[in-house]
Amino acid sequence: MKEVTTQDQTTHESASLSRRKFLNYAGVIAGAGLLIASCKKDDVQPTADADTINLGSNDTGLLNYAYLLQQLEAAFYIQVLKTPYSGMTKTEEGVFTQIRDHEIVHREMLKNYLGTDGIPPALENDWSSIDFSLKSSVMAKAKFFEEVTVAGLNGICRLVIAEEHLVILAKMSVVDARHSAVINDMITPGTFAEKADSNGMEVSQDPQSSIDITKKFFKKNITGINLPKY
Amino acid sequence: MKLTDILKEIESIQPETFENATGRRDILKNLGMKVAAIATPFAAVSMFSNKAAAKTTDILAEAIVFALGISYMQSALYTQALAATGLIPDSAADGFKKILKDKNSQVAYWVYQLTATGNVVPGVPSYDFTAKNALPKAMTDYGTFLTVAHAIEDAGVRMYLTAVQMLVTNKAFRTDAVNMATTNARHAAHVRMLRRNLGVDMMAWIVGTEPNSIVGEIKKAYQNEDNTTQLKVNTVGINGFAISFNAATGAFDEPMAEADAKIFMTPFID
Repeated sequence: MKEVTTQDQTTHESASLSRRKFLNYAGVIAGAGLLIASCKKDDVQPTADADTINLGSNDTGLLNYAYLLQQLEAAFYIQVLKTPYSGMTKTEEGVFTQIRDHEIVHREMLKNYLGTDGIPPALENDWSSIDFSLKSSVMAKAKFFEEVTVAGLNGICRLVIAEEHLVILAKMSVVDARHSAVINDMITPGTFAEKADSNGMEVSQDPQSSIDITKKFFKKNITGINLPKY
Repeated sequence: MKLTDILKEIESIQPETFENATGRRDILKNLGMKVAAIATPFAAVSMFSNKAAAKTTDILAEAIVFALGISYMQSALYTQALAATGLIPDSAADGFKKILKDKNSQVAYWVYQLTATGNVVPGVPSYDFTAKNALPKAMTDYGTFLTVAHAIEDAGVRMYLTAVQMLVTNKAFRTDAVNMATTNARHAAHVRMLRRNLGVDMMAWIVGTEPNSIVGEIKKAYQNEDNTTQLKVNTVGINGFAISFNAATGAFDEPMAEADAKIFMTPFID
């Protein structure tokens, strides 16, 4: 691997650099210390065929997993508001609407940032395990999606190399944690931080096991086989 | 030993077993030297440019002390509030006890790590949440207390984001900080919804620079929270979606710089 110099940083800022290179350079520059010890040749770009989405490798793959989680959340709340369960209160509708908009921002921001390195947008969902006409079903899944997203984003934070990627993921995750707390309190008052462990910390989740429990909500198979591992 | 192996080793050792792992201090020192020797990330360059002799371990300890500073303050806030007669209604007491428990756990964790790595543990300051009588009802009127509390919570989330960034070179510590940041965000959300239940038109997330908290000392908690550009992407109306300024700013919390954090916390420290 070539040595990273300040010249690379200048190049990195240059708009003429391709998106793919940008992501790679960002990783190299911000994570030079970590990367030197684990120089990898197997840079796998994300792929999508008729059956399977491969998230890719390195920071790109990790951001694609974050993008997938945000796609899932946004699509869920869009559906919740499109086919509201009977008796949805104004407060509930207001909460869901604002959360939906945050998730759309997260999703679209990642889409634009990833550019041609992103997995396809609007991946089709499998909602067969959700009854959108039932409040209990919707609330339970909202709780699940928020908790999985926070745990997943925090797990990605452990693995990501570029500093700016770490920061953006953390900035998103804390807002998803706010969503999670509100949903939890709506279901059972006082459970806003039930996920905190004995050190006052969220229990984060590694991408592999996180993907295992989220991929069933997509019609295509999702694989993160090339993602960095704990 | 490769750096990745060292990091793995650090991550695999739990606090309980650290008691006997006298190697931790050496590992951290060793790690610091290695990182300082080979890392030239732009963040580090900018941070170190005027401090040629700075060691990475200094940054890690500085970050932990910074995080501990706000956790000390939060722990004191709820300890005082729960002890104040008639301040917190019975219906809300369990929630605040849970928050205090988490804060105390976070304090204990960082104190442990500083001690284990041979760093100085800062003393706990004495706090005055009336900000020297600028907020005279902070600990006597529930609504005022909630206003102060959610500002301190929101600011705390933002400070933990800064700590995460400062800890970038250490995967274990930065993950700890992220996991505390999201727990703190849960606390912030709960406190904000308690205030909403008193009739204040607000949600669990920060909108702009928080129009519901434009009180003197407190508004500094929200300075620069109105950012609508993320990774150089403009988020208002992004890709043609009807995304308002409120939604765009609500979707992200922003790190609070160390200098701003100091300005925010100082009035509450005796």
